[in-house]
Amino acid sequence: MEKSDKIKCQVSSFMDGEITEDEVSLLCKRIENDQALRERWRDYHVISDALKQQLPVQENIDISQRIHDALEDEPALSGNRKAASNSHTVIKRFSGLAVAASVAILGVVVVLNTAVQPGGGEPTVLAKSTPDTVVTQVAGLSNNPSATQHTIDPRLNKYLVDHSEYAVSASVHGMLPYARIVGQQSVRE
Amino acid sequence: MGENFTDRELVKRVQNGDKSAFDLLVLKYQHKIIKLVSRFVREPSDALDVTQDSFIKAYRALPNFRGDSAFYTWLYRIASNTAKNFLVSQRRRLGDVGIDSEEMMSREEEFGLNDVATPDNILAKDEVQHTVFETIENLPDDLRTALTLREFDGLSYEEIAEVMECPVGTVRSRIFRARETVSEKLRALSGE
Repeated sequence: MEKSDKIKCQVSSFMDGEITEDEVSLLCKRIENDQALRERWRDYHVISDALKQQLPVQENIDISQRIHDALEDEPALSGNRKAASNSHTVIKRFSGLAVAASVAILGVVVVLNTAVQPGGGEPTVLAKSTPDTVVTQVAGLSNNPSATQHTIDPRLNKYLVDHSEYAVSASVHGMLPYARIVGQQSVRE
Repeated sequence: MGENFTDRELVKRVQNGDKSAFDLLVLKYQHKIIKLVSRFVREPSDALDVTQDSFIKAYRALPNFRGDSAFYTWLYRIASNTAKNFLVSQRRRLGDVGIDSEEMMSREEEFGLNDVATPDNILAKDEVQHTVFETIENLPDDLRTALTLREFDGLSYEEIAEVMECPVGTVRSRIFRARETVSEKLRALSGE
C-alpha cells in the first residue's frame, strides 16, 4: 500500500473509531492541510449515510466551507473554556460571600426583632450583639437542655405557646423560636 | 472505541482549541442535520441557513458539552431547537413544537422522505444511493462482507476479523478499499 493510501486508510479507520489517540492528533493535522483527505472523509460518510438510507434529498450540498468561513472570526475554544471556568470561580466566590452576608444580616435582624421589650422598650444590650454571640448562646442552650428547662419560667412558656400559632407564617421556620428564647432569656438576665 | 470514540476525540480537540477538528464534525454530520432541519423549514435556502446557525451555536456551546450524551444527540437537539425558533420568528405555525428530540428522531425514521423533495433532488439522491448499492454489490466478496459487517451490523474491526477469520489489519484494509472503490464511483458521478 502506498503512503497516500495508508493515510486514506487511516481516515477510513478513524471514521470507525479504530485508531489510537496518538494517531488521531497527527491524522487531524494531515486532514486539515490536505483537501483530498477532507474529501475522503466527506465521501466515506456519504457512503455510510447512503447505505443507512440517511441521505438528505439535497445530498450534493456541502456547506462545510461556509460554516468554516462563518467561524473564521470565532476565537479558538481553549481560551473561552479558561475564561468560562474563571468566571464560574468568581461567581462561586461571590455567591458564597452573598450567603454569608445574608446569614449575618438575618441574625442581626432577628436579634433586633427579639430584643424589643414587650412594653415597647428599646433594644439595648442585644442590639449590639453580633451573630456570633447569638450562635454561641444558641449552641450553649442546645448543649445543655436541662439548664434551659430550669431557666424558662411558666410566663415564658405561655408566651411561646401563645405565639406558636404564628410561627407557621414566619418566613424563617425553625430558627425564630430559638432566637426568641435566647433573646427573652438574655433580656431577663 | 467505535464511532463515539471518533466524536469524542474530535470534540476534545475542538475544546482544546483545534478549530479544524470542528470542520470534520461538520463534514460528518452536515447531511443529517440538513435532513433534520428540512423537516421543519421547507425553503431550501432557509434550511441551509438554519443548519449553518445550528453548527455555529454548537461550536459556541461546545465548552459546556461534557459528553453526558452522544455528540450527535446533543447536536440534534440544538438543530431542532434552532429550526423551531426560526419558525417561531417567522410567525409560522408548527404542529410539532411540543415534541422532544427523541421523539423527533423516531419520527424521522418512521416517515422517511419528508423533506425538500423536488423531483430533481429526489433523482439526484436516488442516483447516489443507487451508485453506492450497485458498486458494493459488484465488490469482491471479501471487501463487500467486511464493509457491510461494519456499516450494517456495526461490528468492530476485531469482531469482523473473528467472523472473517483474518487479521484486524486485513479487515482495516478491506473496508478502506471497499470505501475507496465506491468513493471513486461517486466522484465520477459528480464529475470531480
